[in-house]
Amino acid sequence: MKPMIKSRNILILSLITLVASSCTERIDIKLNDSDKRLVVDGAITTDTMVQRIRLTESANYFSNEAPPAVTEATVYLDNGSEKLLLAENPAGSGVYQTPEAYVGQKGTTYTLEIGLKDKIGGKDQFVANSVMPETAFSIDSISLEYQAVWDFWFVKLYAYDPPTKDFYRIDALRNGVMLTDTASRVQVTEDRFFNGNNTNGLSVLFLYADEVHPGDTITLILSAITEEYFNFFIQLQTESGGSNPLFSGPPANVVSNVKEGGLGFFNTLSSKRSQLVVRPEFFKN
Amino acid sequence: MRIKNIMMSILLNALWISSPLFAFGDVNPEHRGTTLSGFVRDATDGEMLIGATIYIESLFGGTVTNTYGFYSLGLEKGKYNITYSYVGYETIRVPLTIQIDTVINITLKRVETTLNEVVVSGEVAAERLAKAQMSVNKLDIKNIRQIPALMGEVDLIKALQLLPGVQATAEGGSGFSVRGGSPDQNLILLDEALVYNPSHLMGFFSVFNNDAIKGVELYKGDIPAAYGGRLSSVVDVRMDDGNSKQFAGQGGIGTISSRLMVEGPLQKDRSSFMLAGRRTYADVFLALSSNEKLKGNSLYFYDFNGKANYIIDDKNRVFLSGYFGKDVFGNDNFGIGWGNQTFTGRWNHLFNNRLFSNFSLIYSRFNYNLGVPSGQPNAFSWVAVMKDVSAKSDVTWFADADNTVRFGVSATWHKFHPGKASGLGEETIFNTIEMPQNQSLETGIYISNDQKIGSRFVLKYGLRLSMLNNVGKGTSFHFDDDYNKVDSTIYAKGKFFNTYTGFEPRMSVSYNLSETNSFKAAYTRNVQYVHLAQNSTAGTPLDIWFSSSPNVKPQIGDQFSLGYFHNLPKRSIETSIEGFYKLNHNAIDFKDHAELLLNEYIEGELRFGEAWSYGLEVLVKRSQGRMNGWVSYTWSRTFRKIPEINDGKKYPATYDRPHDVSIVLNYALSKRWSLGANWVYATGSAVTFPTGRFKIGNTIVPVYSDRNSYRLPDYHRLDVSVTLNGKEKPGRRWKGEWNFSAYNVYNKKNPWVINFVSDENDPDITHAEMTYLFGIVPSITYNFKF
Repeated sequence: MKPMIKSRNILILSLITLVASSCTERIDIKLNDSDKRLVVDGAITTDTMVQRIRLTESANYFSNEAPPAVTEATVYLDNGSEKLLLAENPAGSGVYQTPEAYVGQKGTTYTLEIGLKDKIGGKDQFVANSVMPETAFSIDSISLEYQAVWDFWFVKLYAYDPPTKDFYRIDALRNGVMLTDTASRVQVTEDRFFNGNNTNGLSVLFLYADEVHPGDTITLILSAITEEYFNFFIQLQTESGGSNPLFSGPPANVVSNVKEGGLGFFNTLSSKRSQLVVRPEFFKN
Repeated sequence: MRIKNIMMSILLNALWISSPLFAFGDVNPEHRGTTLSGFVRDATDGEMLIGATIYIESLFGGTVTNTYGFYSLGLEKGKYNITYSYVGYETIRVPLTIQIDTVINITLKRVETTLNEVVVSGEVAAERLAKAQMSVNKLDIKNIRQIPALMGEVDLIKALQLLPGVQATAEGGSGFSVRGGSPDQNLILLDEALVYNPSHLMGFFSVFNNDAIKGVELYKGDIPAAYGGRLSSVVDVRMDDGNSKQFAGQGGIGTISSRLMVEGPLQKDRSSFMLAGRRTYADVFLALSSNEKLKGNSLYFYDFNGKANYIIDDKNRVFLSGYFGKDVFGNDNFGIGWGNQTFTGRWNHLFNNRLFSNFSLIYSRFNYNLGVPSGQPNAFSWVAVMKDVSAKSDVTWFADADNTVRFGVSATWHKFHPGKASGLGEETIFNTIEMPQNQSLETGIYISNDQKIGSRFVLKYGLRLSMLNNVGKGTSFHFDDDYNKVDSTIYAKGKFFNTYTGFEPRMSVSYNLSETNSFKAAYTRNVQYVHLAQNSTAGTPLDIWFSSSPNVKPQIGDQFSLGYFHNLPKRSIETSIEGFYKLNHNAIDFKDHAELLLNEYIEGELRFGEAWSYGLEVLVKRSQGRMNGWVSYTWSRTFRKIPEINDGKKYPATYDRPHDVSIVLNYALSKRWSLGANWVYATGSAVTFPTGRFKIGNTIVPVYSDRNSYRLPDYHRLDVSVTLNGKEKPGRRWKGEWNFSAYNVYNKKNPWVINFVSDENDPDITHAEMTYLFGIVPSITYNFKF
């Protein structure tokens, strides 16, 4: 039986080879240039605050620098009864904002009208609109649960979803600092699986082990969003998140709500928050 | 006998449906000549030989055995020299004086060693030239075993991927494209039963256990009228019948799996059985792991093949065969499993020496389930099942020396249950989501004739009429011009609510320039009524099959092929060059960002257009001798044009890989040592890359090029194997063999995927990253026979 023992060793070896041999490394790829386009990134929320819209330009894929700001544009926010001129602040930043303490109203259609100083992609007028969702949801509380297998924390949500067809975005803050700062960490969801139910502690988000310490305040923001934004965000997560031949469909451009060939999204969010303070006993067992 | 009578009347009824054809079934005892017929079997195990050649020297012609080893030839009374031959077997010459109908059952002996250059009877190759059938490749399991394999796991599908015109859709995967067709356009049959998903372990291995398989025939075009339902190819896999002479077995202990097959007579020369099993043991080693995360995981597949047959009398034989396979992957938090099950019952009946019939009842099923086990938070289950039940009958009438008529009918009941997800436990917060089940009836009726005209022309012409009925209970959704669902119609149980019919002519012609040269041409039309919603290239088990419906027209494929065939019989070399042009109407693709899983309105995600491909295939093949194998080169292009995709501009399909080379060689060094090697080269697959980008928050978002306008780097790879046969000892039945193989010997990093990612430290810096699956993968397998 000696050869058997040898072959078992080889067997283990080749198993390890299979698992380990899937490798990722950088390669050089030559890509063509692409046309420049206007990019809108901003939202009106039901929070009372300064609401900001950022305008930038798209660039070649390997441009490797921060996107150029689109400055000195004329940006109006129209809520159907009033047209508000958004001020670029600070000047030259490409960020256009409402006055202090601006509050988005549920059910209102917001229209963003953008007039550019210099044309981008042959156009200088762009429009985007979005309706502030009227979803009658409520949050009761949140809790944290440690997952030993994966070494991270689930944020569990106790909330009520109304029987309407709704879409949500979920963000988290630690001590007032946004943890969900990239698209891959944000969750967006439709309510098809729990429509009209209490969510009963559904795990909606995860936090890395080193993000949770005793005494921290963890805040969850649950925002009702439009179906259009939900689709946009799912596409954005898919296209920015890498693909593999097993599960991914062919790549496709993320669909924008900016008319006239713009990119990005002008969004409306109706948000509610819930928070908890991390207690030492969370770490037992 | 009563059962036999009942079966007979079912068969006769089936024939009645094809009543215009019935005249052919009518037995005319006063045919002018006589008939020579019989079965050709393997001398040692009684296995039926498929495609063995029966050659009449004085007539420069003959026939081949069918899939049940049966042959029949109409002959004038007289003296003949008849040659029975089969590749890898000793040829037998029988001098014969035929006065009356004669039955000759022949057994052929296997050529035990490949060391001696066998003198090959030229007739074997000549017969192949003279058939009108083109675009077909046949692989015997013996040849497949000689090809070096990934992890030493001999794999029929990987062998097919080395043939001209066949392209793997992803590295190491079981999906393949034939002459530019989609992977779901391949009719994959195991003992006539459809295999919906031929892959194990994400496609790295196929469901075909080599111990249980006799061989495979691949039709890439010129698909015979007996087959229907898929546009691109037929992969006809036949299981071993089981040794009818003595109890025997074989198996192997390999790097990732072990196999065992036993076979033997139930009654000698009358009935036999074959049972084969295989299981991988990756999980056994996971359990030994010190890593807690790995320990709780299960990851394995297994499969069973079983077959039995019984020779009732000279005219009747029955076969039962089945396959059962399953993949299991999971841990406490998540699990996924899938599997195929097939069952085939067949009855061969000889009405007389010229009229051979087969009647089959077939069941096949593919299912998968995934979910979070109950007891866990968010526990849910998701199940899907696709099921077929078919009945068919095929009759061959060996009318005379110049005509062979085939006809038959078939009916398949498809029942697709494409997905149901529901929460588990009483306190679940998940609602149940269920995609509507659908049923359809696919039927076909065909007739064809192989006709010899003079000594130079052979024609094959036939017609298949097919039909699909959507049958209630079912829901048909109505979509507006933007593919949004507007309303729906619900049909009652048993209601036939939609019908499509297909007219499928199949014809080919062979013109023989000489005994060693021929030209062939073919035109065939195929219609496909069931389709796969699968958007990824490698394919996962999460297949959703759907049938044509009021919203989905059947796919129609027209193919023209032209070929020149030249044999060098003395060296047993066959060469061929074939060109093809293929047009696929109502080709199906998916809209951008399509949502295929658990989507009730999946038909709204489909987009329809045209697909076409053309190419040239060159093959040089030597099937026996000390050095054997093949070299193939394919040049082909394949495009699609769908109004709503890529702004309506034509684009190359992912598996458009213009240049494709395969070299497969085996060399017998000595009695005990032999070498195998294969080298493959293919243009990189067509991919879509980003050309621009923009930023949302901190995330870089790509803006893409036109679809598939870039290429992955070219793919190439060399695999080798060395086989050491155990010493033969007289009187010992046990034969052992060590096989050492290495996949990707020169460690080429072939990209599986190229991703574009942001730098971890600065999202504004972006890189291209390639992932490759396999470096050099060595493996060792011990195979045995007893």
